[in-house]
Amino acid sequence: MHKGMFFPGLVPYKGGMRHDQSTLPLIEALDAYVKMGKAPFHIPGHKYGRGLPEAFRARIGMEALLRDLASLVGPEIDSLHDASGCIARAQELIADAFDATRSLMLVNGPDIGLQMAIMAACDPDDEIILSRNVHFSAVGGIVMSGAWPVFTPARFDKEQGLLENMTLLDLRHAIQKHPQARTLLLMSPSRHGFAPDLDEMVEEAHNAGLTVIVDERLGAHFRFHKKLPISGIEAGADLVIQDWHQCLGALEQGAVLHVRGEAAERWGRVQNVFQTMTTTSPSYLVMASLDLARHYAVMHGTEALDHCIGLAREIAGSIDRLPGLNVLGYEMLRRSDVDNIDCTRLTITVAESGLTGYRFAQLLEEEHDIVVDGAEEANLILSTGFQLSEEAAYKLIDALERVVGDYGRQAPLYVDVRRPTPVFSNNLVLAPRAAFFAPRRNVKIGEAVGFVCAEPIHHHTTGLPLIFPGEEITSEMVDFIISEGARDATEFSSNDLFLQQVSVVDERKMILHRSFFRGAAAWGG
Amino acid sequence: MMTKAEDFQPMLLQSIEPRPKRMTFNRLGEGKDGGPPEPSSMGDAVYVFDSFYIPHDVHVEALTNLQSFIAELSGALRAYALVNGTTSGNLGMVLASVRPGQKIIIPRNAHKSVLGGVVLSGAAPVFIQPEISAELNLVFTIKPEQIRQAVEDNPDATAVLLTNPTYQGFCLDLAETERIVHQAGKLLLIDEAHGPHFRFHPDLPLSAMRAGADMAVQSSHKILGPLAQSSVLLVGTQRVDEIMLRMAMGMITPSKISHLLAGSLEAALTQIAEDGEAILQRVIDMTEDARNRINKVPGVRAIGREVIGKSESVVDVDLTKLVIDVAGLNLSGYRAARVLHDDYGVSAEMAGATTVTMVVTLGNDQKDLDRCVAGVEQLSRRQRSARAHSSPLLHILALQTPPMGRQVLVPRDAFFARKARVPIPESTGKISGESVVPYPPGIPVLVPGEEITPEIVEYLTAVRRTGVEIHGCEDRSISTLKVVDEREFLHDFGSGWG
Repeated sequence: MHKGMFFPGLVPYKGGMRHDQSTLPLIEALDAYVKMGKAPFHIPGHKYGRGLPEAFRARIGMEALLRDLASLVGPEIDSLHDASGCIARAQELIADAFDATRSLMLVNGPDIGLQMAIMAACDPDDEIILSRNVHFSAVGGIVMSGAWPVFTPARFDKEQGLLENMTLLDLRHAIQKHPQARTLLLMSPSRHGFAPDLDEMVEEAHNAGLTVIVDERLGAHFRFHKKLPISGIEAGADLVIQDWHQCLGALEQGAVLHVRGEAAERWGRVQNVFQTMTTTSPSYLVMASLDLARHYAVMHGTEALDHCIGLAREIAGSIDRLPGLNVLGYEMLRRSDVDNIDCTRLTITVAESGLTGYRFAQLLEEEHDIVVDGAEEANLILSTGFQLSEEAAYKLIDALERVVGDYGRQAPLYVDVRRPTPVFSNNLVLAPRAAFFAPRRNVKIGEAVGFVCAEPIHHHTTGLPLIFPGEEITSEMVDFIISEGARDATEFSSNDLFLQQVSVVDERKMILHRSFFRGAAAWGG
Repeated sequence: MMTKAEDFQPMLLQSIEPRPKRMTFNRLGEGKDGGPPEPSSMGDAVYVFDSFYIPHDVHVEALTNLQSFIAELSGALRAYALVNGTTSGNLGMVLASVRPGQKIIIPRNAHKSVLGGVVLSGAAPVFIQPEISAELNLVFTIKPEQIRQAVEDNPDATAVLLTNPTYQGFCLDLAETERIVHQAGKLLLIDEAHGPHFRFHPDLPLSAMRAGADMAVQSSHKILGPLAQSSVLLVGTQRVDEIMLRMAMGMITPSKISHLLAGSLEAALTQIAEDGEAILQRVIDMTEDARNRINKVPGVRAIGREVIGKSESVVDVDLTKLVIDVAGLNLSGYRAARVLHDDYGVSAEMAGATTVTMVVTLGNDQKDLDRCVAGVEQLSRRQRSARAHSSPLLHILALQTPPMGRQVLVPRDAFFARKARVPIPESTGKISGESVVPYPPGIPVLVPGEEITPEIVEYLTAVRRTGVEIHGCEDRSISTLKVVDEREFLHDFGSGWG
């Protein structure tokens, strides 16, 4: 087993874990099975990679392909849908490492995980409190569960070009106005690495009887370093979704759903939802990569994060000194008493360079072969990697400086007065589920004002859900969509990718079906 | 825009060409050069491929290119590459075809993802009971008359979703079914999980797209070579509400899809496009040869085309499946599969009451088949020398399956309802909160929302004594059942559907 890479003297993180975290149950089971060399008459059909073209085999490597298996007639390889062997043990170790009551391995990514959590927490017609800066996959969970979203006010920080997190005060107001609400969905951290006051909000929500879901897709590593924000499970959340590809090094679509507290009592429901949404032929490669990622995070995560955080602070300092670039929250990053920012993630405001974030990212890639995590109108978002080298860090700083030097306009302070603020509807006419299934027709976007939207529309580059099905389309929303659509590097995901047409509820064909309106007010809002 | 299948350029794979100088700052969990943070027996290459950065527009283009290729190759109008298995295709087909409260006609033993789609959509399922082979202790399939009857009895149903082929490769009369379903003005959806290869060899059964089905979903990974969890959804006709389908798939497809899975689909299907018929010819020949050799082994028999004459519902069989009947050895299929696996190194796909099913694919070679035949020979020899008892598992099929209970609630309402756990004897008259599926034969006795009749209680009590495997419900010993808590239900949900 390999030794700590960066600070061999550091003790691996082991806070309160009961199990022996040094084992790799699923990987060990796969290794042992492969050694048996059985004649394979099961799926997948490539049979140890042999049926795949040589070129592909060479790219992926036989070590991996040999392990792309399925649950078998023998007991050696467990089944994800009915885990009782090596997968069950791997999941127990995950739960143990995160202090969750139970954890489920997800092979279909954090988006489906979030939908599972929403369906596990919400019955049809239940209210769910959420902010507008959630990931758009929440819309699917709301449609499939039949819940009614209750939005807290959207505050767009125009200077920094980002939507702010829900605050404790927002939550209190929402609970006051919607005492019937059953669920709270929080995004922690936000896309920009800012965490809300999670422990206080979870406590407030629990006092009001809410089930708390935390979309921690960007915060799976929080648990492993004390300089990072509090993790969802530690804050007491009931259902927590983490993207382990992004944060902990698992293969793409590898994610985890943690369950604790009240939700653990509704374990049956969580399992039902999980089984409904999960393929019955899950990828053993993805699951094995989760096993490995858990092992690395527990055994070496703290030291790796120590390295990342240290290096990220240095990078932030150097970048912040570059003309035209500012690191968002840099003042906070430097202080040791601030605990609500993920210091492994840097948001760089490029507005003063005279370039948009989109153009900046494109130049970095084309001219310097540097890839960032995200670009927005005003920002670049970067993530440090566990094993980021100092050399790479210097190259990054150098490239940023050169892009500003080569392409930045020497304009005085660049203030983009045209930068549009996302506008959201204040009028949810139908439950998103009802609108999703309602009779529909297409209208031109310019003529959609006053209609009830029948499709989810989100901003692709930021992943923000702009319109939920069931919301009334206002003229400000249409203006925003048209102006954003005219820009480079911005696109929408809807039925019509270019959003010339939008699908609206066809009020002429709207039949008052009981299941559309059950428990709800009425049509016509 | 369609790509000609033979001129297909695998863009996804081409765009994952190594870029040694590239530096990525796009995820925390990254090891050196895109590899894993820690070495393991899986190797680094798979991680490097998986995490390779492709610019968004290139990715969209490559995926569109792949999907048009799949459509062209499969004779479909449009195709979706699925990275969450056939399950997501079944969910999508149902969501796009049936609205809340509308009826969908499905086989009673449909894959659980079909019932998952019924729960998500809020549809009311109408069940057809498939034919059971008493001789083979296996489920055959559905007769066209049954489908005709179902569409006549349910003129308000919007879609018919059928499993074809079955797990064992049994095929229903798809051409006749298509006529019946489309004449009745309903959508024909096919769960073709086990038939992605049909289109590519003339000796294989009729494929859903050729038969004119409106949609079909295929587990490419089961047969054609891509990595586990990689499947395709095919749209065959203009009858499909494309907007609903796109919205549904948009909802249940991860926003960041795995290159590894999508890339494997591209690689495997390119190979099939180039050489599919020859590849499958080899598989069919190997399987046929093994079938003949197994048929010479005393006490066992490998099922082939002769089954067609013995069934009212099966009109064709998939020759690449090796279904071995071990009843003559007085051995259950489960036991036989375990012995083959544990002692003779032959790992089957599944076991039934008296059968073992082997999935033979392009990944198998003659050596595998020889080991399979040798394993069966050894099993036969060993079993005939010992004085084996007949397996208790056989007795379940002697039990008369009780009629289905009345559907009091649609599965969705039962799914979300509060539940209570009650001992089996007390469950009479209550509404089931879960599925109960005895294996064999793998046909649900209860589905969420159905009334638990005295006959069902009696049956389940008898089943318990046989020690048969029970799937679907939480308490596998079925001493208790989860039922809908009616008081709370009425309070919470208003009226049900009935």
